[in-house]
Amino acid sequence: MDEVTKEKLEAIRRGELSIVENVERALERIEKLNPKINAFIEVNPEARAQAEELERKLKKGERLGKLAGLTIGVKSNINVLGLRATCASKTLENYVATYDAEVIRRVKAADGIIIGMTNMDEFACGSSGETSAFGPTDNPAALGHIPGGSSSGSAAAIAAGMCDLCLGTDTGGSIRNPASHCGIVGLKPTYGLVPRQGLIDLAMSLDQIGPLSPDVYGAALLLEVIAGRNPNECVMLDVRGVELADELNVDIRGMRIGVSPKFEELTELGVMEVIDGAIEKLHDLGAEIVEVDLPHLEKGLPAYYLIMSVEFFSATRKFDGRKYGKRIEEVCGEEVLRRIIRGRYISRKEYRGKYYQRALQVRTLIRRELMSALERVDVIVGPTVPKLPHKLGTKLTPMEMYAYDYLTVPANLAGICGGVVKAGEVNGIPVGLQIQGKMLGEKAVLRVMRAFEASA
Amino acid sequence: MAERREDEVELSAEEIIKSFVEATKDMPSEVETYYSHEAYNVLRPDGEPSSEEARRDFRRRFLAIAPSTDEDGNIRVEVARWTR
Repeated sequence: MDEVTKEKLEAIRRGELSIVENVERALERIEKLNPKINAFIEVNPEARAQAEELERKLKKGERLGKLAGLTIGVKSNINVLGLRATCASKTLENYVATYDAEVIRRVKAADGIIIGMTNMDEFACGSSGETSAFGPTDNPAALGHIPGGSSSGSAAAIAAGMCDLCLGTDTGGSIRNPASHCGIVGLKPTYGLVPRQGLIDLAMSLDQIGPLSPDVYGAALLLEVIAGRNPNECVMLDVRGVELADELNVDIRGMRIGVSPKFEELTELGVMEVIDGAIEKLHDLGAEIVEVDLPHLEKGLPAYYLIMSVEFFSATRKFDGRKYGKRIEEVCGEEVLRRIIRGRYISRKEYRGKYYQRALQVRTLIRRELMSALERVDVIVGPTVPKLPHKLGTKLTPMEMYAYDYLTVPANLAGICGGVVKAGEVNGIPVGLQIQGKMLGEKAVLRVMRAFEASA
Repeated sequence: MAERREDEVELSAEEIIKSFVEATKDMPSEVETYYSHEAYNVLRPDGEPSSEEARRDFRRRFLAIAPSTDEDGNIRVEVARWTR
């Protein structure tokens, strides 16, 4: 799947593959595979008509946008006009979006075709894809195992070839974790690079929308389309636009790549062996491997769960069920309720300074450590998830479940970017290599990802 | 029933708080980071008003998901209990 997105775009532009045919193929594949995989909650009934319209434009010789008829799956916490944005929860099961999120406006303006809304952990609260009110998603790359989460449906849809690209969201690893488990490419952009307007929040200071793709080119292209300042948002970086896809470079000679001994402490042996092999390959490609110190990395996890719970509690107060939908506490799943209760508890005045502000201090520490390490190197590479995905339906305690997030939450706390590319397999189960970069360091991250992909 | 369910998950909700206290007890005091950057945009540009057609479409869609409307197309809402 090295350059499948680029090849498909070229085939569409040359007229060798019709846009209608591309959409038909995606719909057929969804119809065939979704009953087993459960990656999609809803399919866009307008997709065929939109494809026909684009096809007409193409035949008239009009120039199409960057996504030129590619099919795009959208995580169900992003508003797409006329489709349900359920957050995979009974709370919003009948909510049909009345507007397009800013990222969707940009995808449509680039002639991408929204093929449907993808399954997810309820309100993005989960790392397994099992907490959806619409049922769990299976992992097409390791059937019977969790696909990871919370962008479970988006990752599974790409892994099963149900659509060309997907949008997911990443608050503590929700793009990178399922990308790793499903053996695909995922990218969490720098906080503030991609508009969040129209995203239903999990935790507003951590959430970022980003791409999932079968290849690095596709992730770069979709990020290029959705990135850039939205003047109507309060917390955005002043970046007008980025050029990424055509600047992918496979040459990483001379790049300084950081690795931390901390990763080995937190990661299962089998996973670490695959990652060590990947790091060796990067060295063989000409990169200089440098050890960096991240002494407090594991402290990020409990701090993340405190900050996220407080912000999530605040975000869910609008779902009070007063004639609009259902009261969230009455219909949500156990994990969502757990986070609401925890957020409510920490938000009490007497505990604010003791827990929440302390967590924000830990955030400062983690951010400083990562920034300091990234001053010495171009990127930091390591495992994405410390363990292999469990079998669907296995009972885990909340703490065991949260342990999946040890290596992904630091990037969210620091606001830096991070990408995932498949590093190898353990007993047939994919393992993803995580490449973390500086704030707005997407080019360096994508360069390492592409070099690794091309060498496979 | 909802209250009983809340009680049931309360213990596991507190577990992470305890683990946080344990994990950070020896850490130094720091300034607090609310956002990873402080490039706040507090000014909004004056946008162009939506077209009449777009406003009609939005209204139609909005009312379609409203739980209750009257014959004039107004949304019926419940007065909060605490105001009675």
